Amino acid sequence: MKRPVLFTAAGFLLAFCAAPALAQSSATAPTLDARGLPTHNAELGLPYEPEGAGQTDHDAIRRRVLDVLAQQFGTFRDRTASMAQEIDAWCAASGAAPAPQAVSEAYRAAYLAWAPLDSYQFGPIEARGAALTVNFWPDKKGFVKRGLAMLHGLPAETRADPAEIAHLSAAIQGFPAIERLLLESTPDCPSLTGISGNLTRIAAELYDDWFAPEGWADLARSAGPDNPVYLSAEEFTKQIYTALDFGLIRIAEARLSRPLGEPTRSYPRRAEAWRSELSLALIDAQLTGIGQMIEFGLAGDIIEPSRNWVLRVVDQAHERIGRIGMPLHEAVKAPQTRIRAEAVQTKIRYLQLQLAQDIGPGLGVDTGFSAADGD
Amino acid sequence: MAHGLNRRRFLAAGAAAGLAAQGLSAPAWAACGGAVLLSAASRPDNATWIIGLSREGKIAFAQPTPDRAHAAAAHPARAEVIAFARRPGRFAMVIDCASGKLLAQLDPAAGRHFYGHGAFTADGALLLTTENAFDEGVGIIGIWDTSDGYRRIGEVPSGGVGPHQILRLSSGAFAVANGGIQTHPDFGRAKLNLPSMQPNLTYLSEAGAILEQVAPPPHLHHNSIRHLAQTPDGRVAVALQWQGSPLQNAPLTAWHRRGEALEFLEHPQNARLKTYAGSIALSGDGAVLGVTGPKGGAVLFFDAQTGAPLGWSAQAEAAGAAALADQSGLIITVKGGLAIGGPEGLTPLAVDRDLSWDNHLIAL
Repeated sequence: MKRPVLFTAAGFLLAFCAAPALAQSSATAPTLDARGLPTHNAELGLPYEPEGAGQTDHDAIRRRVLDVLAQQFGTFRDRTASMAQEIDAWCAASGAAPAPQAVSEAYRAAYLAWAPLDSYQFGPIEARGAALTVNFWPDKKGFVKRGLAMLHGLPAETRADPAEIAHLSAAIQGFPAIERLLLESTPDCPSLTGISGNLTRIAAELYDDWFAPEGWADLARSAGPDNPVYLSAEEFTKQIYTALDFGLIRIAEARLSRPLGEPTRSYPRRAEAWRSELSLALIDAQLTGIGQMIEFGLAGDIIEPSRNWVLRVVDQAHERIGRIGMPLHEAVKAPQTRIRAEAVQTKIRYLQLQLAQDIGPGLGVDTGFSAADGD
Repeated sequence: MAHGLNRRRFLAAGAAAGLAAQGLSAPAWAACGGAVLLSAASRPDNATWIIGLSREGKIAFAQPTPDRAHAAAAHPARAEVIAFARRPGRFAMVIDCASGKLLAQLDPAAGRHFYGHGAFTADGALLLTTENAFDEGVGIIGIWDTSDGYRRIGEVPSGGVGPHQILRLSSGAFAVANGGIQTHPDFGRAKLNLPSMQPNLTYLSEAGAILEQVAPPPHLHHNSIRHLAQTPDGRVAVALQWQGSPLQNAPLTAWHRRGEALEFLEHPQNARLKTYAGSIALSGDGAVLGVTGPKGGAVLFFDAQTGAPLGWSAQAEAAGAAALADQSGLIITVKGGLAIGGPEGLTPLAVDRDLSWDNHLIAL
């Protein structure tokens, strides 16, 4: 069979996925399975007993999960800063269309670094309202376009000031606004400077909200009866598990469902970031983040056959994304390619089911609901 | 404007219902299989139910629900209860509590979902539901005609974002807890506007007009007003959920008298609620205000006349709170069953099945 031609975004995506894997923190050299994964609890240096016999170590999970989060939030912080630098350099040089490759690649890298964080809509992201400011999507009422029209009417020094941008509509503060600005025939450098500068601040604040002293990570580390959020380390595990499930829902029920529409009618322009053809790369990056959290965060505290199995399903989902072979908004237009996008959705939903059946019960966190979930 | 049109229909419907209400019969609640209390609940297998309980804690009826339910409201005259889906709610079910049968299912209007609570007008003619007009990001009160198969006949603005509980007051007017939190079904239960959230308590006339609004002071704008109870002397007591830094021990109980400012009630054990007050209710004799903390596993008590703190009790998963008119104390849903009493102590009453209660307990 001929390998499908990779489009630009997918090419980039491969580069993204090939980024160095997270370092194992264990000093001991673990036994590796066929996937190259350690087969035992890295914290204890002990192999897992057969199914059902192991005890989940929520303190160990918390340590590793925070490592993964620090890496993911740190990448987002660094890449938004790089994007702002590239935009500033371009604007200082000429600011003429089209945007140079360095700028569009920095934009892609920063946007894709956000994708894994979309799953963690609690704590700092929620407190900062960052889900909307960073990525105002879906935008059913055209707020981004309207917001930018308003922005264009402001003086250049206002547009270029990140602090001014921070006070404007959430719709013009994030990647969807930058995407439109980068594609304009006469680039609005002041707006790009102001928005990317503000986004850099948001990304740095999110990282610090998590990992600076007395941040959310410290809150998780001090779980216990007197902690205002987590009464036990297990509650933090449950939050992360719920976040992974939420990430899969976002992929299947928003990122894929919106452009897929109904069986007889698709909506190509409802695909996220269709203008820059990043829809599938964003899905792939979010899935990569979920896989990282399972592999390196939950790691050996998931009973062995389940972990291998779920990671295999993650790999299968990645493969199905690769097989689409064209941008998502193109793929949904014709029945013969639409089916490939549906196949990804089916696999993501299947993955969700596997999480619920294997991972949740294995961690002892999927114990049904209680009033403590709140409302 | 659609709102204006709907508002007129609401007014007309309300007036007609008021006339019809003259001949109301006594409540038919005796027919309810002995149920005096109602709560949403689930089993360990995640099956979800609306449970009717007798005063002895026996299950009088159990109605399965398609998904997790949140709160319920009892019709003032007919033996009907309506149970609401947990937000973002896609269903509300009207249950004949004599037979346990489903009488009607309410589907949200296009672009709307339920927020988990509702209230009947005093004459029972209309049902009002808190709803999210999610693409506009504004709160709505949906209006349903109970005499016409619970047909939706209109809507009015809730006066804020994220309306949660709506409570009928003794005057016949309504109090609405506009929590201030913007949510959108595409984002599940994520809170989208915490930096700019502006909760308020809104009073609506029986005809749906905004009578008065009161909000926390600016430094407490992260304090989401979510649940309500009326004290015997006419104040509206409020249970709050703090969305600011969890390290800040913000007050989670307040009350309000029309025309005055919102007054926060201090309690030395406030931190035990873990920034989150669940239900709020008056004791049967009206002397005590109880506030539950399902996250912190605690119940705090206040003097319902002075607002002074009256002690607390550790109760795992303390969630729903209600009172029966012929019992002096409070009834709280807790892990494993009910806890009955007040500041002097709570007596456990086990419920005979492995049920996990959802947030609210309703006295029928």
